[in-house]
Amino acid sequence: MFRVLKNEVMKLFLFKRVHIVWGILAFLVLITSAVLRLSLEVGENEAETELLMAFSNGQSLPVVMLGGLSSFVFPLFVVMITSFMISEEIGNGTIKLFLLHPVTRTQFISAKLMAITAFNAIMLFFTMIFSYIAGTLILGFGDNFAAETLLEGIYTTTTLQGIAITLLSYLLTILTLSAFGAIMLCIAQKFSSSGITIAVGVGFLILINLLMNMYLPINDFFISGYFKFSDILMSEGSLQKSLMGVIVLLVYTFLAYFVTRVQFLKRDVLN
Amino acid sequence: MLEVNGLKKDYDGRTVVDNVSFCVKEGEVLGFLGPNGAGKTTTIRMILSLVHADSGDVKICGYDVKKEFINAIKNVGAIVETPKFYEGLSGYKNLKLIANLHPEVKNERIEEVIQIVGLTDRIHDKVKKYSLGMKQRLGIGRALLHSPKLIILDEPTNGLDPKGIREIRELIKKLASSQKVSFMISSHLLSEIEQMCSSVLIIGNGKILKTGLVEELVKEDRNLEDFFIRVTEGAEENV
Repeated sequence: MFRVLKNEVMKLFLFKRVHIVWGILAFLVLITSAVLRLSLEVGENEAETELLMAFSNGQSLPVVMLGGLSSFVFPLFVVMITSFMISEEIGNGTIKLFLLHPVTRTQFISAKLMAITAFNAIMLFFTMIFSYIAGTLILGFGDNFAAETLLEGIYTTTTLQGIAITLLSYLLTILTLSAFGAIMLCIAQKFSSSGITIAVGVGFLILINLLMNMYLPINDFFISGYFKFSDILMSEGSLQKSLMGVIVLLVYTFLAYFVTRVQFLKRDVLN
Repeated sequence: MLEVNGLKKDYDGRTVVDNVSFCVKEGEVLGFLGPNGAGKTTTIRMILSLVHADSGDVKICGYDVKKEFINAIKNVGAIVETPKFYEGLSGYKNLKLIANLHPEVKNERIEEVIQIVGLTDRIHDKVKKYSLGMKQRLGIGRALLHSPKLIILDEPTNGLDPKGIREIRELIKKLASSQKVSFMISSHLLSEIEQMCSSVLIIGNGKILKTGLVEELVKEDRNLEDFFIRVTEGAEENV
């Protein structure tokens, strides 16, 4: 099992196109930092400038970036990676390379899910660390941590608490993206074309974001409700809501994994 | 080494493999022949558990492929149809990825296999730059990597030049005689099969038409090609 996982993670780093993800993320962090800096310098409205000043610093930028990227950009990368890791391998026949060696189908699917989780963790921590560095260099580290939350406006706290919130937000987002990755794994193993998987995945992503924005009474059970985990951590009753989120996400992950496994065990590998 | 009993597979109500049974002994080189669409590749896929059989069972080195997959598949190396690779990676990295799945395969074995298939000069080039023949060699190398006891090759000499064909033929003969490796080789190059294989199995419309030692089967005909055409045409007339 560990050997299959090692191979999957190795492949992630051997393929050049995966490195494009790091390039895009670095670009987005740099452009956000630069825009914030420029807005502060040319800001005419005093109230707006004050608001911007609150979170335009190195210690707050990682959460600003997480809030901006977690609903669409990060899940979009997950869609692309699962399509490369599963659909493309089914389509071009490389999937059978592993199935002709001492690897059970359950081990294979489990390793794929773990590799997606590893990719999510690397992608998120890269964004967090790069945001700390780029934010501090371009905007300065700042005196306090501040973030703009959806429900409760500007949330301000000490640097130490801010770092704790940032770390926890990123850690819990790994869980969200992995649950989404597990669903994508289930979708991707149905198709032998990465293009179709990406199209279906993007459609699914738009749909769950739309449903979330309708503020339905069952929003707490939507995976998209946990894309912005930092908002939950900075809201009232954060512990209870976070626990609920973790349970919902684990249920999504295990259900999607179970369905994928059952279907993959039955599958005839024809390519 | 390989025991196949009553394999059957239907696709959309059409039987593509029907009650196929045979065995391959230690050191035997079995030619697996049949016209296009006869059910050769489906049979190979069922042996390797890539396709689920509707009925029947397969044992490799005594291990049931369904129930003891890991133990069974450890003993097999295979190329199914055209060998597939990660085209953006080098030949070496492709071999390394497979070697990672076998703890007993060390780097020295990878180097040894590269030498055997004659790819030393080009092994660090990306596979997308390889000719079909080179890919075929790399595929054979990959099948040999973990020193399996049974090797299943689907059209192993496809794309190879005459020198390459001869080298692969000699390699197969050598492995079969000196290391008692068993081979099951599917090919349309009947002259090659005649030179390489000790026995043949001919399949048509999913059923076994003939099986036996090459020298005994071709007694009444000039060569294996004449025998094959006579047997398969006879089967088509019966259909």
